[in-house]
Amino acid sequence: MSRSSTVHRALIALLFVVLLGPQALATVTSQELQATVLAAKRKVYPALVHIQPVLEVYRSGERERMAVTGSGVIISKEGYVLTNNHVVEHAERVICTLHDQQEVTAEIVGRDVFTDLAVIRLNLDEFEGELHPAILGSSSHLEAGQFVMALGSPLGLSRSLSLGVISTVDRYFPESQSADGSSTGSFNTWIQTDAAINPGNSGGPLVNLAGEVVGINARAIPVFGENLGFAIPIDLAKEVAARLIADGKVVRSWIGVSWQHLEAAPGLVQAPKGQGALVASVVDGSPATEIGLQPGDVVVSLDGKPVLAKHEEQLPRLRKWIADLPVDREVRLEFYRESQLLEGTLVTEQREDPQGTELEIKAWGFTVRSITEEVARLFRLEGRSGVLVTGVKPNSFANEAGLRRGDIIRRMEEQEVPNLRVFEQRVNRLVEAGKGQILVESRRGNRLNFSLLQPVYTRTSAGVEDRS
Amino acid sequence: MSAWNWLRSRGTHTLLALAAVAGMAAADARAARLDMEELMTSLHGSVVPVRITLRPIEPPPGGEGQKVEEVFCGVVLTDDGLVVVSGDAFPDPGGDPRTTLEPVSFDVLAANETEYSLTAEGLNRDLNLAYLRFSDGLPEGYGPVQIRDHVAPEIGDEILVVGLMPERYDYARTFWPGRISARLVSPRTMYAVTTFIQDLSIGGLALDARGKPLGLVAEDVLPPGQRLGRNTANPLTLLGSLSQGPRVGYPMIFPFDLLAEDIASPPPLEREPKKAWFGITMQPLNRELGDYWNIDNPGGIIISAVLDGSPAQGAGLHPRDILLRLGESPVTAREFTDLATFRKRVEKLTIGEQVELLVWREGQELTLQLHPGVAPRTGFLAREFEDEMFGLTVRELTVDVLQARNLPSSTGGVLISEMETAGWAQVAGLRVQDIILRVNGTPITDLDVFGKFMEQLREDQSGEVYFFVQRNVETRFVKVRTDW
Repeated sequence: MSRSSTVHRALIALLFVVLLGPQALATVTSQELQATVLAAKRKVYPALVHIQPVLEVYRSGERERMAVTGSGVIISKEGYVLTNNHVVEHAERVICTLHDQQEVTAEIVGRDVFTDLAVIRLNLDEFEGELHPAILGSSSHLEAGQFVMALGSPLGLSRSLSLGVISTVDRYFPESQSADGSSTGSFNTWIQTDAAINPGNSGGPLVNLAGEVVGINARAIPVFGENLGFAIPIDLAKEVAARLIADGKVVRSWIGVSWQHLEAAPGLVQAPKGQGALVASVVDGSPATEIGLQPGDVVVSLDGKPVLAKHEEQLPRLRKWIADLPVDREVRLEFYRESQLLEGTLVTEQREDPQGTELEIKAWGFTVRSITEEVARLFRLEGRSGVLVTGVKPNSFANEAGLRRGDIIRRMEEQEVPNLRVFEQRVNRLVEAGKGQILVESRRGNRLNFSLLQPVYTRTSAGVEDRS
Repeated sequence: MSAWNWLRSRGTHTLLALAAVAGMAAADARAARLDMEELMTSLHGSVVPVRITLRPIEPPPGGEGQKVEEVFCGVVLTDDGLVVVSGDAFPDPGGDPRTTLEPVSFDVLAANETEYSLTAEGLNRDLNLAYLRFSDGLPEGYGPVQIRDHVAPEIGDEILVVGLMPERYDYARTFWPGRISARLVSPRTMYAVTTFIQDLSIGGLALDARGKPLGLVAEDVLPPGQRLGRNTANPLTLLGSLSQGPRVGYPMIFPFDLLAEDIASPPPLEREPKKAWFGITMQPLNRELGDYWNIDNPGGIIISAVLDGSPAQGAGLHPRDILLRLGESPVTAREFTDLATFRKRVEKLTIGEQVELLVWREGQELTLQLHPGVAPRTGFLAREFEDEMFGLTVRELTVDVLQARNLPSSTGGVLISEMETAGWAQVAGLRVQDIILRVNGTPITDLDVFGKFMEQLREDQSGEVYFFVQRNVETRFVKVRTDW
């Protein structure tokens, strides 16, 4: 019997059970459904990975270690495992438990903040046997109502399986921006399912009844609702995984425009019906400013191809289209301003890693991060010199001196701080010299703030340490 | 024109109300028997509970911030609806806008959950009195008190203080008998009383033994930092804590003479005494920093920002400069609280009259000449426009808001300060703190333009209106569906 007819009959059987009640003649066919689910599970089960990363996080001005759990799925015989970026970002090391309980360490191959995806690679010399990668299906023909299973380690409970249906295939969430300026969900809509997804399921596969992976489980709304899980479509995941394996990162283009769908301001321009996307915001100094693009303009074509974003669900595709353009490429835009059709050619720029590098200044009790483009924009900075204070430890010298989270350190000891690297070198020198008074000048909102750090150092065998 | 004459010119309604008030003094004055029942009934529409709603001047991003409601006792002064209440809900300027609450709406609470909206008209900081006006005229059942000039009660005279009972008792009008205990001439003519005074009698009415109004129950607020003496009769920590730190004062009777000028023409909120202004933000120079820089001065103030186009910029003052002297006298601020003292000093300077500043800049002392300007309006005094159909209130952009958000001083637009729950604006996804830059493509440069445009929309009854707003660092369009 072919696979699809089995699925078909199983579904009919289930429908009968629902409609006629358990006494109905569906006993045999529900067994078939059972058989289908089991067959699908058996296909993907050997590819399931329980991930236990040890994270290094910067909190309240200190670097801390934290053990978490997540899920992943083996996608190749070489040991590549697909998971969520948020599972392994900040990971110092990653320990994976495979379906047969073997523990194997893994290296991070590449991470992509924007899609919340990452690829890690199992250290195969620690592993005995043969890997069974999952079959990656397609997410382009999914339909609401289709049966799916979520596999993974909800709340750390490894090798768990839940069953449900696809609730919708293209759930849109506005880009969510985190404190460090990174945003996820820009380039995809989400597969919503009622198969139970909980924290820890992250990175695990969403599988159809044919045992093919159709999504990577990434989000749940455990507080306000139940049975609301969200997965990244596998088509996007496949593409990102391939780029991470090839280059260790995903290079994207950027033109400096935030988009809205046309319905947000209908009748603003006289563009051909239904065509175009609305420019909501333009970043100063970005490629888009070169052609004078303004909020309110409606872009109707890119390189002659029509732009369609009447509804917000269409926005991720447009953003991805632009992001996938080669960096430094000329792009011709046609856009309407009121009733006038204008055009211009701009050159794409590379979108920068939004996260930057973080550093703990242990001797003085605070943490800093490099000034990324995103940070500069969010803080309305001119230029990118300085470092951003991301946390101040309670009762530390920095705290006593009045340094605060969100301060941008621009000068230290009357000298400019151009970047994180120079800042680190200078801090090390001052600490080694046992300097007891350090003047830190930062920008706090729209004003300057002067903090005088007065650390007391205690000498230990390991060198200079902060007070215990 | 005296208050009395002014009042007489106001027509029959007032006169009838006055007749009622006067009538409560029973015919037989020698017996001095007052019909208290009738007196209290007649004052029901004159001594009123006023609910004041306060919010932080600068709410946290994305929210409106904590909302506080307080009820004050108010007295209706005129038949065109002028009401006086304590000025405690109005914050002193210069506080931290994130933690300072300011009043955003005023309502007289009537029976059966009826409310009458009031509009803020003026504030007399010296007397700590605020003037409000019924937005839609004086409702039925309300009338002004009789305002008598030149009353001169004597020490020992019996009086009645009329105020309100708390919410639990539906703000029932109540009175407390007492006596005039002292006549004071400084800082103004007023009377101390031996009467139980509670929060809801501040702002109430003082009557003489015949039931004739003597004046307003108010408080003589002490300057910041001063404390009430020990064993003070009737010490009050006033509701000033609502806005910023507690204000303290002694309860007093203010004769109406003190209010006469305000009643004739309430001091507009904007018509604060014009204050001098430099256009700087400051950080105190504490001892450690002073020592670090080897500054040989008893203290100083670090200039942490200089506003665009401000007098300080004109004088050549820079951020990082340390101010050592203003005119002849040294400047010292060791703590942030000391900055208020300096601010007060600046406010009292003569606008436009050159002052000399001694400034420390990178190890050198230099002298700068500064011409103080007029302090611009701050958010708390900003004019507002409420559009009831859209369910939103906007406020003009003031220098303090622009500065707090790090926006250029040239930024146009109006700031959404309040939104009605489930109103058109809120349903559409507009947010408090959004800056409206355009509506339907028309640039909104200021409050007047916005007001006119909204009027036009009402006439046109447009089905969909789109707002172009600045939200944090980005701009976006928001489509508002209307339902005229």
